[in-house]
Amino acid sequence: MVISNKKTNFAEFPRTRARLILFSLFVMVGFLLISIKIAFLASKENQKNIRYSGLENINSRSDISDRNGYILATNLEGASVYIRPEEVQEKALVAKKIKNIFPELNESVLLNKLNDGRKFFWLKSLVSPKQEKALFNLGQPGIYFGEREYRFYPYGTLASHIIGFTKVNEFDVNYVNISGVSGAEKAFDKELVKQKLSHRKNETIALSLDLPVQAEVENVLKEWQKRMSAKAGGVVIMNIHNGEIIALASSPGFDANKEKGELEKNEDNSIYFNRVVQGVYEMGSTFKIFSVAQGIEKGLFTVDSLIDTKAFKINSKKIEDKYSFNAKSSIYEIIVRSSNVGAARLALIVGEKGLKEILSTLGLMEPVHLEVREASLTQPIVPKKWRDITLATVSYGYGISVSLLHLAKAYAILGNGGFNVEPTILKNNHKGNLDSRVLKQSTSDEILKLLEAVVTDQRGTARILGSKYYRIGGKTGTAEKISLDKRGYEKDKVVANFVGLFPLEKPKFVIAAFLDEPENNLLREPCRYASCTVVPMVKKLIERTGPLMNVFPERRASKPQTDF
Amino acid sequence: MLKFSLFIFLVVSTFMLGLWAYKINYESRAAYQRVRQLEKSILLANKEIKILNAEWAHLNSPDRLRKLVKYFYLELKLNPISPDDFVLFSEIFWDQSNEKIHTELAGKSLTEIDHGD
Repeated sequence: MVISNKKTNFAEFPRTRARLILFSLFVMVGFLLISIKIAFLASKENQKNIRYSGLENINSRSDISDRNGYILATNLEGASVYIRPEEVQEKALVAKKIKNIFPELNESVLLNKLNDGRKFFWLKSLVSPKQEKALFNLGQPGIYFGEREYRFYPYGTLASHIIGFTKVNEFDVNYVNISGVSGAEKAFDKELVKQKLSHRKNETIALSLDLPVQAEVENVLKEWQKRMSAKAGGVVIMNIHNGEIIALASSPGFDANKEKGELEKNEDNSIYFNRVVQGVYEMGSTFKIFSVAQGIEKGLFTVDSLIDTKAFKINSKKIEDKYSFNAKSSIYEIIVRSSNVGAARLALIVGEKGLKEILSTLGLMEPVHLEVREASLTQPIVPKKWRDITLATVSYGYGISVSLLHLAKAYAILGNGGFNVEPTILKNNHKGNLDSRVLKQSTSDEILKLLEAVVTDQRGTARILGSKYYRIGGKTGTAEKISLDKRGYEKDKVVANFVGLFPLEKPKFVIAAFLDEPENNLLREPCRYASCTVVPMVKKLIERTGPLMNVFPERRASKPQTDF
Repeated sequence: MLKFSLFIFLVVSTFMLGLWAYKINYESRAAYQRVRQLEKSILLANKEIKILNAEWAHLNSPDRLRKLVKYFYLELKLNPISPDDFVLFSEIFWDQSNEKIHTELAGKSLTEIDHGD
């Protein structure tokens, strides 16, 4: 066989040729696969997933801010301390020195832990920078620090019930899992964590609260609760058009930075109990306006209609008034002077169906759909059987218990021209404004006139509220508390409340306030009525918060000074 | 001859390509390193901003400010905002003849401020 150097003809070796072709095919396919992989890796879509560093876990929970951007809750980094006993040399000395830094620790327990042969134990899950430095300065081996995130509330007790608080679910040396327990922390738990996963930038959740207003509200509430020796109190200010809650205060409050106690479930005296959202009370006369609204809406009567206001018996229970009324009074007078008899008569005219209809229209028969879980769990206590006497008592706010937030919502609907509105704690959340009309504009106008008369009329129960700056309208309510044995009412223990709308030129805000067991001892004789306990507080609240909310005063006391 | 030059060309270009790939590799590694460093410093800066924000919020907490207002009342005479503080534009005393002087004075006093740098 002659092998030619010049020409290699594989035709003579068909198997070799086939192998060569197969081989080059393999090589080509290999190259093709590699190029595809390179192209895939180089594509933009893929580059997004590249994590450049492992530091992303820090600040994993987003901030919560108010509507102006003031930070209400944030994550900070602290340190946790753990010990590996086998590395510790002078155990007794270390135990003693640690005890000096943390006086609350038990020295002998600590020494036990150091000596009982365990490999690892947590000394403290979170220490302050000062304590961390002191421990570090001991210069002892075996003491280790881990990074530890914790939730910080810069304003302490401020808005604590709305912000809520968190708990640590699990933690490790460099890892902590925090979840919300109450308030916004619980309501937006998913969003607070999810935001960090999807965006690299730390985004905040903006609440509808206005911090300066909230601070002023809490300040005034605290002062008046003390002055009126009330057990508790609450205030809520809400925009009646979009349902945004501008301020919500419940007293007594708590500092989420300090107290991390177990949430005592629905216990009335718990500091974690949100009295505005969770507390349901019989509200008294603030309910009177509802049957009036229904009557006007359905054309059953007008504001000037005369109603029988003589005391009368119904289901063998006598309905009477504290003050004397004429035999017949106009609806205007019934509301302005707050007549129980008149309200009961109105409810009987409106009837069971009508009363139930208006109460459910205004959202008083179901929980308020606020974002916080506490709200959705708060079911109003409504009568099971609606007899005539039930109608009568419900008309002046007995036999039905709702929260202050319920009242604020109901008055918001009455005051905003009759549109349904859902309270919200989120800024620019259009869920609030449902834009669906539930009452006629004329009904809303008439009700606003009546509510203003309660303030402006010389006989009105809220006449103290007559402000030289703002036109305010509202209704007072004083309800005796059910006695502990639940058999009757306690004469000297009341819940005094007030719900008002302002500024009346163009109603924008509803303010609802209540004090639990108030007593004004600054007058000649002690007074427990809302007119002398809550109303002065509301006046102060409006005059303080009005300017902060940019409400231009319609009336001014004097011409402004011009001393330039 | 042609075959030889083609061969040389291929060898050289392979060599060059290898060099280029090598360079790119190192450059990209350096860039990656730099990105890591930047990311780290961004995260550290963010962390610092967070702490400063929290501190700022804490220092501006209304309770604290209220105490400070009380403490410095004689010097600062700060009062809560009241509805009286609202003034209509038309109600402002507006002496047009003095306007220019005031503006000039203000401008002068502003330029005189020593910023310390």
